[in-house]
Amino acid sequence: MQQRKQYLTVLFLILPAFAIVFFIAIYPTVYSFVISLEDFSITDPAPANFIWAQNYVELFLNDDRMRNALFNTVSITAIAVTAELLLGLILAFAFNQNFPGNGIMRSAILMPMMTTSVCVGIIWRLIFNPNFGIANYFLSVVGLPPLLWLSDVKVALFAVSLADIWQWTPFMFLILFAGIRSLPVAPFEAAKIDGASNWQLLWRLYLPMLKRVVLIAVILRIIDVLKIFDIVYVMTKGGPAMSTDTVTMYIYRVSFDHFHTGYAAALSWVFLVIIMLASAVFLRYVRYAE
Amino acid sequence: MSHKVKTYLSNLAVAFIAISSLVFALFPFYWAVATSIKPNELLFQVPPVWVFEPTTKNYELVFKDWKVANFLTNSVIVTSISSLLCVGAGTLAAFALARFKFRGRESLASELLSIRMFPPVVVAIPIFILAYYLNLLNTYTILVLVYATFNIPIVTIIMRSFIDEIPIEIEESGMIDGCTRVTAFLRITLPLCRDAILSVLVLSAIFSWNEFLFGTILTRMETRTLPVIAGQTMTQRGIDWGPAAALTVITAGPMLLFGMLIQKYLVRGMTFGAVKG
Repeated sequence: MQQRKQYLTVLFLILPAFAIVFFIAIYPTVYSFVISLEDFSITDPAPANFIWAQNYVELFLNDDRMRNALFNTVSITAIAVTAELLLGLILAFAFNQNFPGNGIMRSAILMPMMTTSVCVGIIWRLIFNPNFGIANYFLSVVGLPPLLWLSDVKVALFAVSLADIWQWTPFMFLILFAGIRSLPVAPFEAAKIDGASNWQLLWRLYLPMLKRVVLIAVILRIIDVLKIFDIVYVMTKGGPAMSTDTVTMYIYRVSFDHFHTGYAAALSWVFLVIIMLASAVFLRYVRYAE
Repeated sequence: MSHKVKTYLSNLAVAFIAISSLVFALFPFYWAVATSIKPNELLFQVPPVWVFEPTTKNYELVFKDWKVANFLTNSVIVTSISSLLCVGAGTLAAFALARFKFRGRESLASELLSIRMFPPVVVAIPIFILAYYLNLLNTYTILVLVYATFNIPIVTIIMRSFIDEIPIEIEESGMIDGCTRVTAFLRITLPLCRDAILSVLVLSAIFSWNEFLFGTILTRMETRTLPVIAGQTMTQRGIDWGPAAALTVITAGPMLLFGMLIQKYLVRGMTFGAVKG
């Protein structure tokens, strides 16, 4: 009786949350798998045909655009996360020192991560404007030739990554800083008394002790950069010549410009599996935390 | 090198890092605001004009001609209702996960977390179709539900980590005084979580306010939110930079202010409780 009452209470408590999540996330995802096995299109009134795994076969064997998008996505992720980690570490160690204005400066450099991603894209597009953009002005001040930031195939991917780095380095910094602050003091003092150099402190003590925090921050960033959409949509729409086309941009185009709904669903499922693998890694480390 | 010189050099390095990071972080904001209040004829000058008489013309234009007040209202309505909804539903679920032992509890919790990892574009088509059949396209309801869905996992997990830190004994003492488990939670534990609730409320408001993809595909003119309108200024054919910058400031500004309020909880919020700040 007591047991049953407890189950009812639990059910009553989690029902609102899970009903919404089921209705808007789980059910659509399952439904999207069904669509991915059909030649369905939302603009075509004719009933869809069940075509088994044809969409998936096409996607794995013949889709150069998907391969290109995957390559670009992985490139942006590698560039952005590496830069964010390095800058984040440098900042975290610098702000770990005491100096006047430390607190207020720390607050100020967190601002980019709270900025609407669409606005981040707009602001950087303004900065990168080839005619009157401030980025080229700064280049000219230091004597460098101007760049076609967003329309040069060799540069655009880095320009997009730079916008992501600007927005999310604060996130990396915030987490690493919290990690450094929560380390015990004793081992560091002991090592200093024993005459360890700063370099040794960094490699032998700080980094090994920060390993878990660094991993959590890096995996979370990897998952989020893989999903990058707003910034790309606003800055380049995947261009020039598909050089910044990401998986999310590609899925969006196939879904809402070309209306190959079934095929887009198949793309989505492949992408979902990739993300889920990355987040499975994350979950393992979260559990270590508890 | 003497010890003194070394300390001096390392102080210099720290100062350099701190100041250059500050400039890098803040300059783009300055540039957006400056562009939004610059007179049109100075906008395209190179080298840029640093000192000028500010004008509110661009702001007047976006409110008058682009009817930005409507989209601002849409954003406020959708953001506030969806945040209240997800914090309400998420806190109840967090209470269940923190205080009751039941089968499948941990797997339920990690299911929730993996939903937060979902790439939104993956469920964009099925949600579009769902909204179409339920006649919910171009309504606040569908945006509220979608934003709540993406925030419920975060709220639940963060609130659980806060509730876990409050000893269960204080609820048990309430139960001796005649409360049920649920009323003991509502009357005793919940007030202690006030700061935490406030912070997840702000965090989910930031996420909802900033959302772009669903705002684009599920709405038409009547229910568009600010980021969608801001994104639409970036056309292929030439951009009206003055008003676009004004709209950027109006869109991003409010959440920057909100974000400053919850800095203390940002670490925990952004890592789903995995790192405590």
